[in-house]
Amino acid sequence: MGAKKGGVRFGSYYPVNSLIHRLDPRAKILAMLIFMLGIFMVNKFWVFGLVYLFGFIMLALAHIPPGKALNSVRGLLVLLLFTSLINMFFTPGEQILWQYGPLHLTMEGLLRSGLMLLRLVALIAFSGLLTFTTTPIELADALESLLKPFQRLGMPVHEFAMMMTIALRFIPVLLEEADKIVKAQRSRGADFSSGSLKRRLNSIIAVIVPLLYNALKRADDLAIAMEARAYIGGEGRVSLRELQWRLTDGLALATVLLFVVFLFVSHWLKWGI
Amino acid sequence: MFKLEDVCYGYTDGRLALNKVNLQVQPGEWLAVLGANGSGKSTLARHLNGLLRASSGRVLVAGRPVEDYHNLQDLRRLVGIVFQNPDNQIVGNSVEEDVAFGLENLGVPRPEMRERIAWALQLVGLSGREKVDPAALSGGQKQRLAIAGALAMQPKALLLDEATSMLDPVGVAEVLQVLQDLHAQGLTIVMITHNMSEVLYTDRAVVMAEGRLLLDKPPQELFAHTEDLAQWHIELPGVTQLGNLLGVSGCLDLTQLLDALSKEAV
Ligand SMILES: Nc1ncnc2c1ncn2[C@@H]1O[C@H](COP(=O)(O)OP(=O)(O)OP(=O)(O)O)[C@@H](O)[C@H]1O
Ligand SMILES: [Mg+2]
Repeated sequence: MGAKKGGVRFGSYYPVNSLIHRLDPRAKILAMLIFMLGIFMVNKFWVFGLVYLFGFIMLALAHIPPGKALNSVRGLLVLLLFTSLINMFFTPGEQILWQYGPLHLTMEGLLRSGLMLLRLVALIAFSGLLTFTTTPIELADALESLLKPFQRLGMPVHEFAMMMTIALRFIPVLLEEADKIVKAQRSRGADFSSGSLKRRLNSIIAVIVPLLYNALKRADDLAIAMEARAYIGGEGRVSLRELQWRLTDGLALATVLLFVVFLFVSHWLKWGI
Repeated sequence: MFKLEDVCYGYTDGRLALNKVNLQVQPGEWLAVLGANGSGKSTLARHLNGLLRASSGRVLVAGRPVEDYHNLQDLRRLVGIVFQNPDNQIVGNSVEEDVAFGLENLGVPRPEMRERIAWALQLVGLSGREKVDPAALSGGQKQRLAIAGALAMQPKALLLDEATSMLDPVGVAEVLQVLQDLHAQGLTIVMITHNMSEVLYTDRAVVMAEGRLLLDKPPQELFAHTEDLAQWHIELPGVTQLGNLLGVSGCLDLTQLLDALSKEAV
């Protein structure tokens, strides 16, 4: 996450104009969901080979340098290594390669942790592909549109999307404000990085309290300003931003669907590892 | 445009924030509302577009009592309002999306929405900035954006509640320039302000204290009431203060002061 003055880009939106960037965000969300299901079905190394090949083709289509995609994996490296180590040493099996007390390294464990690692990296990289190519606002719009059917069941879909949009709008404002308060408190001698835990805690509280107070004041102001501009909720609203489902979106989704069907089929194939 | 008859309003604490206020604002008029903190200015403004309802008395907007606006959106469309803090009233994640907000709420069709956005941005001098993130704008630009958001709804009147008080002099000048243009085009403007030099641009000024309307005069005459204004904690522009010290009252700018002084000398 990075905040710059004059615009905040979350996750990691990578602003280039590519085929994938131009896809309807709804198509991308749906594709990602079914793709993730597919990945959970993969249980053979050679199929993962194909999954990664598919992934690299997508990255190329999205004009995203592979290094960028790897970066998002690096953040979770510790977690990844930890889960694969656990898998490696605690999976029971026949072919014991090495043993020390309760720890044992089996052939099964080795294979399983390898598959698990490949699976997790694929999941992270593909969700990265979504956030690289889709702005948070597009995501909010897409979620609102996809969840619309649930509105009838009483789910506050519009409100949820509006909340996301407003949160995005205010995060840079609040970050800037937090920065100001930290500086102000520091100039009064607050210490955030040394001293006893209690002192540091006090310094942090001295930042949180005014920040929270101001945030509530802002929320109050904003509610009045929205009301003054004729906001009455989602009913009868026409959004300036328009989602358009095109032929390419259908084709893209169909391609992913086909690939995922293959992933499911591969689960029950008898040959290959 | 607006007519208030014996309007009273009290918040929950029992005191009257508005106490028998009578006020009439003509279409196309530019009114300044002055008064110390807590004198009831914002409360007054919020009665003019139905954000608050009078406890007693009547409020008419465009000749109709506010209770008769069964669709509140009609009232909001008629009377736009700009608040003090630019950061707390911008909803959109880009300039054009913020201007669109009111139009989206009204359900304006997209092609017309685009036309109106372009038109409103043109009026406030922000054309070409449609895709810019509001966080990247200066204070004056943000307030002009807020004005554009109100204007896009094609209101008959614009309320400004201390809309310039958080701006630097450049920002204030930008906003005043836009207001002068709008005034020339016949828009009714009600401007709440603490800054007496802004009052010079208006047709008429009223002073509030403790929920009552006290003075109601053209700005030039208002400035002669030095003692009264001091009592209500309203500060005159430097030039006027200097003039008063030198024995010529009601001077609004340097030329007037020099003229008056040279006449005195003769
Ligand atoms: N939401 C509220 N709840 C209770 N009392 C309020 C509320 N808003 C304002 N008041 C009170 O009503 C009175 C008038 O307030 P108002 O905000 O109209 O004054 P103002 O002239 O706009 O002041 P300022 O110059 O500070 O903006 C004040 O005494 C204030 O304390
Ligand atoms: Mg006020």
